[in-house]
Amino acid sequence: MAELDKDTLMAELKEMIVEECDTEVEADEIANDIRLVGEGLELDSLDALQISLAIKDKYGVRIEGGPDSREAMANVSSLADFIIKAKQAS
Amino acid sequence: MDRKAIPIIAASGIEYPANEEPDFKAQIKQVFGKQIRRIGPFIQMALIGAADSVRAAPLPEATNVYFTSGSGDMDVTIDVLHRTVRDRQIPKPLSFVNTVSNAACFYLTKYFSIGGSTSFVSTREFALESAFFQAMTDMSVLDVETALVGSVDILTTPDTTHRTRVGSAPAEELAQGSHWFRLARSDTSATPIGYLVDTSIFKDAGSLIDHLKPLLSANCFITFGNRADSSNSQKMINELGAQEYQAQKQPAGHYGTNCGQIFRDYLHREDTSASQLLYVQQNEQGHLSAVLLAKD
Repeated sequence: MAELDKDTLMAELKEMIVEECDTEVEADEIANDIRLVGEGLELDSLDALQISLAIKDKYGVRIEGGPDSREAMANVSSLADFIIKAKQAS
Repeated sequence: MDRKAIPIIAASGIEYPANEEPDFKAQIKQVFGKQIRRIGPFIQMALIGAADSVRAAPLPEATNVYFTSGSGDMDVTIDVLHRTVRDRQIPKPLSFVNTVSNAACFYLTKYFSIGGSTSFVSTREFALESAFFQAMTDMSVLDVETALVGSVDILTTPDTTHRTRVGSAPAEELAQGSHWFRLARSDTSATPIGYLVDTSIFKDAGSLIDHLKPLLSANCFITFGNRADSSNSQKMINELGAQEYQAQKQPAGHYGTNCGQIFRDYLHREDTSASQLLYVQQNEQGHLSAVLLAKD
């Protein structure tokens, strides 16, 4: 896979979140730094699991449980950073 | 009216033939004033279909829900099976949780503020009949005062696979529908639109006739499900002295719980007062189910 551009990746992730979690907001309304789970986008743990499985399907990156995953799932920007870092390491 | 008959306070629902593609998301927004996330057509139809019955009169919190389906939420079940069996992947959680058909009851209780018990009740060929039977039993034996009895069956693609799954002949029209009935033993806030008099399952036509004959009035209509054997049907018409029911609005097509459309048709029309409606269906084993409704 070609090197991931963070802006492109974040746009893809926003589309993915809207589709997978059936959110009322549109992809372009999701700020890069808005909290995904809890306050912010108001997603829950089921949504987080749904997103992590979609990311594994599309990018081949596993988001395991633990502090790293919580940090990765904080917002779209951190999620993109996590995927880029994982792809670079593989 | 027979003292055991249970008043039906309201009946509501939706039904669509296979050539219509309703926008359930838009309907949900219209009914609830907002979107409800993470639900597919099966749960959307349950909520939309039940709304008018729930809102017909103030609904006691302690209402029980008896929900049924001929085929269940096949949409998400197929999705999960494709992912787990065909693709050998872990199922996605939002699909997986909705494979349990009772998931619809979670949303019904949440969005209609219902605090009673919820049950998903079914037998494949007598789905709505089973839900009525369970509700009637609980209301007679367990002092349940109010109940919401409903059904949903959805269309899935492709048509050919769907037909095989639901046991529909190639030329038969397909449809999907959601039908809801509000039963209340002692609710005086609304005038009953009819009564659930009896619902039972019989091993043959003879035992059905023996059981029902004493319950029937002189003005009784009878109608049959799509699997009812024609010789049995004629025997019942003759021996029960009932006249065949001509629905003003027939079911739009085949689906497991389309008898709900017949019940709603009967309960809502104005020219069937002081009458009864007997609906009889047959399963693959030749057993017969009967639902007897009545109107003042």
